[in-house]
Amino acid sequence: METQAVISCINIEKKYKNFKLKVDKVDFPKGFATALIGENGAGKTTLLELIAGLRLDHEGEISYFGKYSEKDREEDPVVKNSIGYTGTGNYFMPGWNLKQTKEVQELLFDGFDGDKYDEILKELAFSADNKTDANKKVNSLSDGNKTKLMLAGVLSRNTDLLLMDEPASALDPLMREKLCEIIREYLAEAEGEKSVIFSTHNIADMENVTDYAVIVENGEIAEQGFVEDLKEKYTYVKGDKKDEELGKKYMYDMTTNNYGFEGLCLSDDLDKLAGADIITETPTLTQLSVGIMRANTRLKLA
Amino acid sequence: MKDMLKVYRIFCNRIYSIVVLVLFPALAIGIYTMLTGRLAEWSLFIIAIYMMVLGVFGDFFCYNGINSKDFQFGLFRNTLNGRKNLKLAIVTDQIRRLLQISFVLLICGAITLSSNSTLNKCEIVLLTLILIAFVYGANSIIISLLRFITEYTIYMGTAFILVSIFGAAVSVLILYRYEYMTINLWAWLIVFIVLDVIGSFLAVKMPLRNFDRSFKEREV
Repeated sequence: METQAVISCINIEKKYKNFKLKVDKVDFPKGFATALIGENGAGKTTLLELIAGLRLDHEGEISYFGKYSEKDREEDPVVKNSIGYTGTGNYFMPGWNLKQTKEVQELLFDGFDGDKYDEILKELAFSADNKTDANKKVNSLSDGNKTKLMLAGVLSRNTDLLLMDEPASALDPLMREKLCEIIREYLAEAEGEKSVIFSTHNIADMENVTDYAVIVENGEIAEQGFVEDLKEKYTYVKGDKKDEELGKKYMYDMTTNNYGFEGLCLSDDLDKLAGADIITETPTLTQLSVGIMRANTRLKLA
Repeated sequence: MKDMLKVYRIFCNRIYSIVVLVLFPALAIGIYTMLTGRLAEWSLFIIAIYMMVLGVFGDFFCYNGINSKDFQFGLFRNTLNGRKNLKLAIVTDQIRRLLQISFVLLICGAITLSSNSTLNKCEIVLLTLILIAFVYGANSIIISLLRFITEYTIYMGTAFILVSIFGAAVSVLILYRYEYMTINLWAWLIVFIVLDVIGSFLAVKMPLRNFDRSFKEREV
């Protein structure tokens, strides 16, 4: 599928003491929801922060909306105002109360709509002890409610891109479903002009809203593509114990147990397993992600 | 002006404002009124130390740790307006600090004018101005150092030490004035105005430097 890129990252390199993020090329498609998937420490948060402009010292180039550079992002308010970022860590000062979170955002962000903020908080059933309390401090809120505050904040601005770092991790299952609904509504708002990039561990919960997946492992992009294309590229295979050795030769990734093996196989290599007694199915995004991550991980697995 | 107040309130909440801007200054003036009858201009030194302690300890509840590398500027980093508003908040706080110290010490100075002081009126006014300059400068320098500390007990302990050091400096002033009669009050005023400039620069520059640094990482 040919699409425009809302964010393009080329030759990105960022070094830490024991880690290096190295991205040769990744294009996040415009008008779609992209999931940045990877294990802990893979580099998802670092990549999102580089894109959001929260970390400035890195090599490589990032371009925005097909025409702006990082320099434009730092100098032209149009670019940064078009990006809404939610992250982990202290987004709001812990000592602020709820009224202050609204006042601060009105001060800091051009085009922040305070009334819409209140409306969205109501829609998200935001509560502190089942009632809204303007004087309640941020540091006394649950992680779920803090996430709702952040979401309400970015959704109250007129943005073209949402960057969300683990938006679902603190939310209950019902709220995760609501988050997916919010993302779908956001994308539908401007007929393909708005985009969402989020990192997640909750692949299963976010699968029904994910259009494009970027799988990060060991600081590198292990795989990327539209989910439908990836589901055609890989096949989920289950086989008998007797065919395990054959599987080891041609499977992209596999696990074994007392009864047999299962895992991902490249669809192009399926014919090599023709003689084996196997069941094939279209992989879920979770199966795809776990399989690809496992094939590239440094983690020692049994 | 409206933006200055809004941005000031981001860091300094209502309770802090009531206690630090109203309650303690009123207490200071009340205490001073009681002391001045017995101690005359000596009370000015006591109130100067009191205002220094108030400013230093109160800052913990607003800008706690803002110079430390672990301080997360959060929302401020997500917008191009972040640095500008952060600077405005800190500058407003410095202006508030100077006005508050001046207000309290000028009232105390005015009370001293009617006391049985050994100083003449000109000397009392000059001494008041010197103490305003001293307290503001000392406060600004001390909080610039304390803002690296996030832990409450360490902050308070270090604050006591630093206030004591600066308090000792005031003692030197008293010693020279009353023991050796060699002090030139105008010279001390100039010294403390220089201290104010240094203190103001540090108080504003260091948080902004920390903010700029927060976008970069130490690399190996």
